Amino acid sequence: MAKIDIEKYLKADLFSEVGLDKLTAEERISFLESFGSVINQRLVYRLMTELSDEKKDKLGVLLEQKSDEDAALGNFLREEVPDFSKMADEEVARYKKELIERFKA
Amino acid sequence: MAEEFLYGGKTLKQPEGKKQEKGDYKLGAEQETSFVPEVKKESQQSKSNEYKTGQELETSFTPEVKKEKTEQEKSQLFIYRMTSGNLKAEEAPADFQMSEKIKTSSESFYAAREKLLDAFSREYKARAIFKKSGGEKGGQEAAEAEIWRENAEKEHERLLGKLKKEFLNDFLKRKKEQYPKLTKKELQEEALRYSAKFILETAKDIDMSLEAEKAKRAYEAKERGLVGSLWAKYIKAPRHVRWLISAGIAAGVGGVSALALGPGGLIVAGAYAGHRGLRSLGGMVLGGGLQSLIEKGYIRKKYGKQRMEIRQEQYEATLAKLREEVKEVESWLDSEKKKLKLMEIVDKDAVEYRQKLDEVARREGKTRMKSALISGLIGGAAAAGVDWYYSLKTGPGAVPPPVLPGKSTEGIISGIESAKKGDSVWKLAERQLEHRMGLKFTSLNEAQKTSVVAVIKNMVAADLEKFGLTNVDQIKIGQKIDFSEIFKDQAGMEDVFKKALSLHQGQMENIVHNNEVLRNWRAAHPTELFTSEKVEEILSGGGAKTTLPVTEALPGAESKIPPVTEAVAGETPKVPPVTEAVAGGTPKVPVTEAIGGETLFGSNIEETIAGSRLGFNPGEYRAISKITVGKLLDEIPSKELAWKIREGMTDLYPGKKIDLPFTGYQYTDVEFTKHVRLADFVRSFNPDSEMQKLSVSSFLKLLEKRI
Repeated sequence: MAKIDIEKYLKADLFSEVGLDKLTAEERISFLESFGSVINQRLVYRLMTELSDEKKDKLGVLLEQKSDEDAALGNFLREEVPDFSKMADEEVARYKKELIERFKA
Repeated sequence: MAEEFLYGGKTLKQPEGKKQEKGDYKLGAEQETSFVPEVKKESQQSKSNEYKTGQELETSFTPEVKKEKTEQEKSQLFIYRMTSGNLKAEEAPADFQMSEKIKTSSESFYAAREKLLDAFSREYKARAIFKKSGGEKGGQEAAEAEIWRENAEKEHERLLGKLKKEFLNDFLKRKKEQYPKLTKKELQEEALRYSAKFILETAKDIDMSLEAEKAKRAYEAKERGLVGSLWAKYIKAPRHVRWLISAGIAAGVGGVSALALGPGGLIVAGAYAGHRGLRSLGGMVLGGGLQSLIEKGYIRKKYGKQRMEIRQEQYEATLAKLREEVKEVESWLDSEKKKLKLMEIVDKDAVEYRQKLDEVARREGKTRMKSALISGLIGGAAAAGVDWYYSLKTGPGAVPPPVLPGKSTEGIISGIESAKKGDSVWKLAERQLEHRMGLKFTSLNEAQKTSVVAVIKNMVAADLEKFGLTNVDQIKIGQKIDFSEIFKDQAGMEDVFKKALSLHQGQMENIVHNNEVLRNWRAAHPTELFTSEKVEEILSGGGAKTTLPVTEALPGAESKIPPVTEAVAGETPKVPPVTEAVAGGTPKVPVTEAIGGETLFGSNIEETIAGSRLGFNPGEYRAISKITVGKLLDEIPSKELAWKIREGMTDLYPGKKIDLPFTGYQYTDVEFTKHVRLADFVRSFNPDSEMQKLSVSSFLKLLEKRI
């Protein structure tokens, strides 16, 4: 993966960086919905890329048997995907970078 | 409502044909991906059950299943929205015509998008082959596919940028034609707004759609099921929680402190948000008492006469409301409900405060950065609201149950932690607490966490053999510690947490202060051994005496990694940096800000004597300031005797222990030294019996006229 300054983009404030302050509250909420969805989908995609078949099976069992236990998925991520935090940081930083550059283009 | 543009008090109506349809702004999550139909069903169901804010009620959608647009229709609609300015359009008119330049640019862009999707698909498959072969086959193809995908991404963004330029040129051209009197500055402002809308629209129409298409092409049937379940978890979370998570990530709020991954695997992004510190932000906000709650809850210091006045007014008003709400100061930290109520008060007032500042900014002709709504969203309470949501959702304490043999949690939470490079018993204990106790632990503030980890570490230290250790400061890479036994005592653990939660403000400040001192020491002495003894020495005001090699764990080598101090490494400092060494004591934390004529010590004279002269930090002073002068002098009859009593070296007071309030989880020599100093100081005034009835605080205040 191309190197980017992860910390810089994690801390970047999109509200000022991409002019969201110029949008109406309703539009900002709409942005937050889309932004959250994209981040979520990218994280899931990355997860699918990184997990072995065996771990995917384990995740499937967990989601089926413990669908109401919120902590179960968190525990799974910690135990089975030790680099999840790093992955997540990268994906968030990458998307924020894209949006900032797109705004400036 | 038709869009209007305000310029210098004039309202310019939007041209004919640009009127937006009455209806809701289409929210991103409504455009759900189509690869798992069950998800849609579940999401609709969840929406009907979830709590709706006013905003949500306005934007909630009907459960009818809408016909999925083709990719071509989606792209057509996106271009129509951007060129017409009608961002709420649901369909592009049949006779919609775009300019030649836009047409060319959009064709190039959508061709690049196809290539990018192919590149993603190729990479995903190549990686799968590589993984399945155990890393033996397909490495070259996977590496090449990654490069192809990266290049395709760059091209995709480049052409999207180019398309944006065409849109913008077209938009400005039309604007100038429609409103020829617009100044250059006004046009620039319009261009910025347009760019912001472009970001909104591309996130909604381009990025979400790309992710959905990516998933559609890459995933196999089994993966679709998994992804569908994960998506359902995301969609099931109430909207306001999703917004808070997104707002935190978007605004970089989560980056304020690098903390361990939170327990809330409710949704992947939620787990991530917890990891980045949103939850601990709640802890931070609450950790410093009411004043701190206001400060961190967005009513921060401002400059400029008017702003300072507004700030002061708001500060006092909010503080009064909080005091009214709290009444019994000591108990509010124990009540989740009460804390939430306090956060709500601060958030509400923060919005009001923002509005007042906005008004000042408006009068000054400056553009405010964020609206009240968003300020509220990313303010202390709202960010912490995610924490509370998870916390309240799973009941008091939100604790995943401890591992018990035969219970369903077995296999999910292991009691065994393995040491990796750089680990210590402290770190392992901390990790185990995160895994096992989840939010109950991760939502504690730094001081509370330190106190809990210290107990666990001390339990290990008390029975080294049982845990397979010979020295609590030494652990080998790969060595395992089984903490299960410790956590079997559920009542005992509850007690540990209860004590951590009941630390008062002074104690917490002292712990954080000590952590900071240790952090600074480590930074200044990176090659020195850092053991329990060293910690004691540093906190006793000593410095670096021994210089030994760095003790990072190496394979097969004994590790001498820090105990207590590791607890603070990586945490964001929450107290001002140490600036001044006090003779014979620990470094002093400068008093930060006088609030309403008071200081963190209570008054200026107390700060001068206790802080500057005797070396107390605010927390330490507050802990001792409420006892009577008589009690202080009784407990510390003289400097020499006090030390003898403390060390059990005198027969004059058989069995006696010094009984004075202290901060932190143990009565350190450092703090005791300060108490002795204070007693000496007070005694030098020969206080009579009446004066001995005064509290230390009142006594020092009385001295104001005499000094």
